[in-house]
Amino acid sequence: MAVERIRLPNGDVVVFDEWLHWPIYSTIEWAAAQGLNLRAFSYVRGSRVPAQGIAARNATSTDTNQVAKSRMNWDESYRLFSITYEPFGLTNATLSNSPSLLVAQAPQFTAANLRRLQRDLMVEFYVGADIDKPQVRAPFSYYHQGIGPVVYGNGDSPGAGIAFSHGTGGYVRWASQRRFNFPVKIGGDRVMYLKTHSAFGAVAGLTQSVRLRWYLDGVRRRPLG
Amino acid sequence: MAQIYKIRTPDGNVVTPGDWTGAEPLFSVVEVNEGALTILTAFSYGYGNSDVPGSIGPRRATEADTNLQGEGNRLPENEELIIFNASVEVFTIGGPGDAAADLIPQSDPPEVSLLNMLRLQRDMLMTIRIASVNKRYIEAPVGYFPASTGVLNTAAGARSDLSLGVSGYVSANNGSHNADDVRELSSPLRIKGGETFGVDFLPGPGQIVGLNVANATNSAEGRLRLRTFLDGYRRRPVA
Repeated sequence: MAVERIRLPNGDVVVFDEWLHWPIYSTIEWAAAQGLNLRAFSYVRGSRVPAQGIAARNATSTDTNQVAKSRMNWDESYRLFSITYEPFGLTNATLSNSPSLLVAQAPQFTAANLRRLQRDLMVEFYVGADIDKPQVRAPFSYYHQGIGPVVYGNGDSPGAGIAFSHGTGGYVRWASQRRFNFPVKIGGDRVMYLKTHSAFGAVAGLTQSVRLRWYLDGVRRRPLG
Repeated sequence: MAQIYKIRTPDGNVVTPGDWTGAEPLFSVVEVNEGALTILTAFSYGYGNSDVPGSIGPRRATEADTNLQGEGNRLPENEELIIFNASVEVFTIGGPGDAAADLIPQSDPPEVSLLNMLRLQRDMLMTIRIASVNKRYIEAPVGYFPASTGVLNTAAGARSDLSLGVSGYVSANNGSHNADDVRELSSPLRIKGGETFGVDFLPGPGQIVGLNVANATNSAEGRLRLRTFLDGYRRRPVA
């Protein structure tokens, strides 16, 4: 049991806690031909990963580190400075008009498909129950990818039947992540979720089913244990 | 003991002479195989006195595996570490993988193929814990901690040795190779002398799904070698 607060003889209350650099991450998945409206940070390990058009599965420790569904835990709090993501393909991609030519093998994700997400997806982050005003709202392209591989090829087609393509959301480095001028405060027990949705129907032309892992990047207050 | 590591002054205060450096990161290796994995803990062993977790054999730790002195799992009594950055660099060891399993041709070891890097980044979770209560101080998939080491690769029509010069390859680094791009912690982590700590690697699905580093024809014992750096200010004893 943690000592959370001490009342001094003069009546003052001292609260013990600590602030740590602590990313919170959460995964969503959807099929290429599906429209989507999915809420990340809405589940914990062992419960279902939000998905549209693909088989449901239970979340593992690499899908999320949320400890309370759709909210900040009651004895914690968060200051959000940046949002970033990692995309993974769930299916292979071939050229639509030349299906014998392989473009990407899952978990690779093609540059064209990533650009299609940037064109069609909207991303909104909400804090508070029954609050319709997002704290962050922008097209997917606004959020840069700070996490992932830096890729280099051999300068030619890697092999017969391969028309290789791999894309990342900008240069993969933490400094590329879009940082907010004012941090977003998420208080203890506050409802929070990140909504990813297509502006209209399915993402046009998308040729791979997608796993998208979202990160809230910032500092977390937690009790001293 | 030949070292003076504490001085009690006449007024009762204790002064600890120390030599702080910012130029000697603490590092430790673990190795990842295909199939089911249990927790692999970096910094769980000291240089020369133990095996590298997950290694082929297993093999004894060399000075390229770790510079942690002592029995492992804790910082020596006369040291202290304030961690500002954590990073993980990745090499392919042994192999090559099964050529039939990957449609994009493999890279020559020690480079890591893009597909294997993505599988690792997708499935492997890294946790830094400090103190005997095993308190977690940061936890994120391994891609969150970019290598900040590596090779700036330029190629034109290159071919892999593995394919006897027939195929090309697509390789990947765990994030950027620039020192500037190391993940900086916005609140540093402090490990006091004698305190237990470790960096745990555990895949969420129980394995790195689809990892392709072992090929029964050539080598059944390929691995991904993960070298973790904890960088910041390090206090060493004044000898």
